[in-house]
Amino acid sequence: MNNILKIRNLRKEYEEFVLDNISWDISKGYITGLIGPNGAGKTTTIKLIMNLIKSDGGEVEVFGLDHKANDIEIKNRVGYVGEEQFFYEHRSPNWTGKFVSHFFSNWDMEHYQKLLEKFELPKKKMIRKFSKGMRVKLSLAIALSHNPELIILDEPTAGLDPIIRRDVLDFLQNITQNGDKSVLISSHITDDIARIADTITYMINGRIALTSAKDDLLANWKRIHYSKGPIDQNILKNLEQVEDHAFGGSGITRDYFQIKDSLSQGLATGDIKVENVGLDDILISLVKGL
Amino acid sequence: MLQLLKKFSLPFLVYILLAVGLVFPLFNYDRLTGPDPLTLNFVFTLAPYLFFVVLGAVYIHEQLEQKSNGYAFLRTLPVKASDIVVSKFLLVFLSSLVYVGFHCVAFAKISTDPSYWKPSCSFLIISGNICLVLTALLYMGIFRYGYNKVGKYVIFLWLFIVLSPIPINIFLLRRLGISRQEIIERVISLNWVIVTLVCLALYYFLMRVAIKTLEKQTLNGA
Repeated sequence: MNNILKIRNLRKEYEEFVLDNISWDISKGYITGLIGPNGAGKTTTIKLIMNLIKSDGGEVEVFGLDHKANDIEIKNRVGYVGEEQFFYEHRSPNWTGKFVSHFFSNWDMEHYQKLLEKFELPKKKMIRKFSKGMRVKLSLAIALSHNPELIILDEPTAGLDPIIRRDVLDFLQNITQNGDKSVLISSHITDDIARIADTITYMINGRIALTSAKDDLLANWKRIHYSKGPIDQNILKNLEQVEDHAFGGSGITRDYFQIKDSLSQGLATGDIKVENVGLDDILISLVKGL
Repeated sequence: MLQLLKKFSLPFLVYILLAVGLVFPLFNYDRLTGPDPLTLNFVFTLAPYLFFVVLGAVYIHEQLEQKSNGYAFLRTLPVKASDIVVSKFLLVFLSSLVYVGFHCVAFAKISTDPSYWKPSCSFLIISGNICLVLTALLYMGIFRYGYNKVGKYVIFLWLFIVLSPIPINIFLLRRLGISRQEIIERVISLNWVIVTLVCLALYYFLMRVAIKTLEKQTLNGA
């Protein structure tokens, strides 16, 4: 696969947090979801990619270019929506569009105007009067109006109402259909990631805990419920977060296919049930497993 | 960079127009007939007024940038830190040039005595150069320590500059027995061409340092 983003041994130290030598690749044409609890390092990683903060070590290549030496070219080709949205507060979306259009080589004013209408943003209202959701929408409109090859979104759906949230996610999914655009989206709303991402990366305590194709992840991670009574040791040793209750117990496996054969007898008798897990369950399992 | 110049220019334009527009009727150019106390007072007042205007424009502009997180916004765009700094320094230079140029032309046109207006222009050009260096230092301070830390001192400096002719007059004349004429004579005894070259070189050097400082500070998350 063609990597659009390549990170090697990236490190950033703060007083109470360390982003610990992360290495990570993002493939072209895919939507990658970055999931992690608060303070895991998602925003720090994204800011480092965008060269908005200084790293303490490691390398970042975007489109095969060093992100520091090619800062301007990379920002020209990346649509970025940050965790916080900054604008000239006393200006309107119309003014902002005109202003930023001079910096992006591929700015599409018509598309920008259409997005403002789609997001129902008042074109002449001062941005300081905008709600959090409106600011996110404006930031998205700017990020999507210069024909970016890579779109990086840090918690973009926070503050958006469910209808617009769905619209934004559908829009992101549509623009990656022909394979020439890629999306990196970080969110604590795992439903959003589950809906659109092709690849999922979990980040916990400044480290990449897991990266996998979403379908593989959801196929491999299962919750196993078992009735009270003797249970195959091969199954038990592959379970995490085991909880016993009056009628049996349950646990999560990371490799369903490894224990599938051992489960077959229990599945036939109804003593064992297999349940799909969500991305939230996997996150909890990973956090507890550390 | 043209867009940045356009974006940043409003406070400078307002202040320069204010300065040029108000100075003319307020200070009575018709007094510029010779080196008498009234005309000396006029020239003496123009220099602090220049500092007041340019530093004021910088102060207001940086306040607006701070309030609207302008630097944070610009950093997300394909904009070089050097373009931001160069635009600001260029505006300060142009503002000072307009102010000094306007008054020098006005001196030359109105004053009938070349022995008067030539040294007056020299005094103003040297003041303009000092103003450039002071403003460059102010920008350096803002980029290095942030507007919040530097801004509160600037307001005091600004007030001091506005009111400075009064205490300076009192102090110089009554305590030290130095007249304004002597100060002006000492200033104009400097070669304004050399002073300009030195100050512009220093201004350019400070601009380069300011670019490095802004790049470093923004990457540190400031």
